[in-house]
Amino acid sequence: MTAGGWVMMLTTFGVVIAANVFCIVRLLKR
Amino acid sequence: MREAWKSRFGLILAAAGNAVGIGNLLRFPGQAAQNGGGAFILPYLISLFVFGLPMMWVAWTLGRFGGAHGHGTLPGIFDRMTRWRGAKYLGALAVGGPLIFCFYYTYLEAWCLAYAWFSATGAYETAHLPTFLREFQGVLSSGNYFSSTSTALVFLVITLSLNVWVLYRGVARGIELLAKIAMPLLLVFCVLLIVRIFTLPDAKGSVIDGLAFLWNPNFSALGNPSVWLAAAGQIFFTLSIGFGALEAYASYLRKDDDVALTGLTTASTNEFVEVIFGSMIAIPAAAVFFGAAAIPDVAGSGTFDIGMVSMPEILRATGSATVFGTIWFLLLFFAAFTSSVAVAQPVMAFLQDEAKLPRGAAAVIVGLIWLMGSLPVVFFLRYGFLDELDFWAGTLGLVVISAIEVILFAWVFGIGRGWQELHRGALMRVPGVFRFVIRYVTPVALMLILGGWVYSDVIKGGKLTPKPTLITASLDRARLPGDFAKQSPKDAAAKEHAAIKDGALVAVDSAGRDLKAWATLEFDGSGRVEVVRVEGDPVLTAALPAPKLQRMLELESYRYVEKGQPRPARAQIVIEGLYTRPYVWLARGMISFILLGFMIFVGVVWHHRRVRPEPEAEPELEEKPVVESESTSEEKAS
Repeated sequence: MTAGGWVMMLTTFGVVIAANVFCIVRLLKR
Repeated sequence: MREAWKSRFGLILAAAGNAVGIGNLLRFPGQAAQNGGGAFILPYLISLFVFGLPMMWVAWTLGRFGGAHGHGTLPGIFDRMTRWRGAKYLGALAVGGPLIFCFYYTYLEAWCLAYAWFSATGAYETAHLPTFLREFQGVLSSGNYFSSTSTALVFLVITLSLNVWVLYRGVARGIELLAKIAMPLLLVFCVLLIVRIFTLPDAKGSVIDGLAFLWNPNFSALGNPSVWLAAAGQIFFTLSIGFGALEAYASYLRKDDDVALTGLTTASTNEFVEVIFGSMIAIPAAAVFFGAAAIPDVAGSGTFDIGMVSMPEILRATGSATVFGTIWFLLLFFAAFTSSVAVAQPVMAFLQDEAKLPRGAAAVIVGLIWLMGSLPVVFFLRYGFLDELDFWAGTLGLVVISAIEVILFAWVFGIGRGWQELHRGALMRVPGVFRFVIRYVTPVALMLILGGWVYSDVIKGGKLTPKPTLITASLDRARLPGDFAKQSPKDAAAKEHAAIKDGALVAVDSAGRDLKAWATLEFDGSGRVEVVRVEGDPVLTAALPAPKLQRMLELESYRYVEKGQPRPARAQIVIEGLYTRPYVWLARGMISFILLGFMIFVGVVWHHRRVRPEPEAEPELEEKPVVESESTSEEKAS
């Protein structure tokens, strides 16, 4: 796996996980 | 009084269940593999921002708006938001379309249930899996494992009955309860499978090779329009956009309940399952077992082959088909189940809201139409019936409905009013850039996608003219242990291959009926195949004589792969040329009948209202059933 591949995968996973965490936190905070 | 969700947590699980389906775990890896892995991801992510998120917010906003006026489906919603009388007829597309989608989606769901059963009972333990699948589907009729589609039919009836039962129980006691059970199970199953696959010993490759195949960026493919079309199509399919299902779910909210955060949560959960789980199961497993270079060929013979042929093959070879095969197919089944009830809900809501039918009667009517529509899918699958429905209702239809919806939302309802509606009771602020995207980018991009499809499929691909198909895969299991390996021919070889195949198809077309022949094959010491003779229908044998078939098999690198069993000396292939034209037109007739039927139905219902006006269904929101939030239900419990 190239460095570009790792960056692409980890960035996408990071954004998806961050979006989920944001949603859960906002929903719980309500 | 309209139904309502019991809790916000249940609603979010149901909405996520709606979006998470076969598309995430089967279609996504299949599409990614067929479109060059890393080349697919970038257009996919861009499509998510250009179509996915904006349409998600539009759908939730319109759904809640409609629900406040007693409408859960787009005919009523469009009629409320515009002064144009024709709008409601366009909305009817979003009632008939999803119903047509259900006709074949439930059949795919039934395959998953059937395969879970086959895994648990060891039915495919020694089977040649491609033949097993094709015979189960009724595509092949060589009778080694299944002599008819009766097994598939039984599983379809079970699946359909379960769906109708959930719809009959209603939104809170049916759909919401199902989601509360199925979604946690789905997550547990995903984690178990990922652990299993990531602990597989390296064979022809490693799991990292699979991840590399999917994630190593390939910017050269960005100029290929077909990859963009596939990526956009996947976004619509996976997020359940353009089905009218999100609108129906949103219509059971209260007027001031949040839709902005709920829409984002639905998309985020879906992407979590698709991008993370979807990329860590089927493709890494295929890379371990077949090697990363073989992934496009593994997925090449059909979108679902990677899940329904390769995955059982891999799990069987590692001795875990009984447990993990069952888990894999139950995972797919539950994912599909929570989606199919969602896509059927618009028809339910339409019958309840507009035709004023009680829920039980609506469920019975939907169930009967559903069964009648599914039967031709079962019987005529081999004639491309499912593919035809999928193209119009599951691909093109989603874009057409979305285009109408976003244009009416941004330009007729008005982006200012729409934006305000989206933010009423919102638990988050949607970034302002999406206001611009919804108004300009999404409609233009949708038009481009529509134009692209018309060009690639209708003008260039000749989609409107039905073509016969040729099946040359059946292997006589009785005399043939082990497996064949073949690859899709590339470039010049592909052209030569297509020319030979086209000759045979022209013969089927001019004969105007199905043709069948048998080829006897011999294997030399290296496993190379030699065609000894072709016999059967004279028209087909003349169009595809032994030397031509030999060349075709060579171009496909067709060879015999030994798997611990002695190589046989001879084998037989069944060659079937199917005359698909009547069935393709039958599918188109059925689609037209359903869509026109709903348009007329809408006309009749609205005419009836004008003649005998009912007291306006303007709801008194305070009297609607209260959506309990988690905190309030906890407070009550304590």
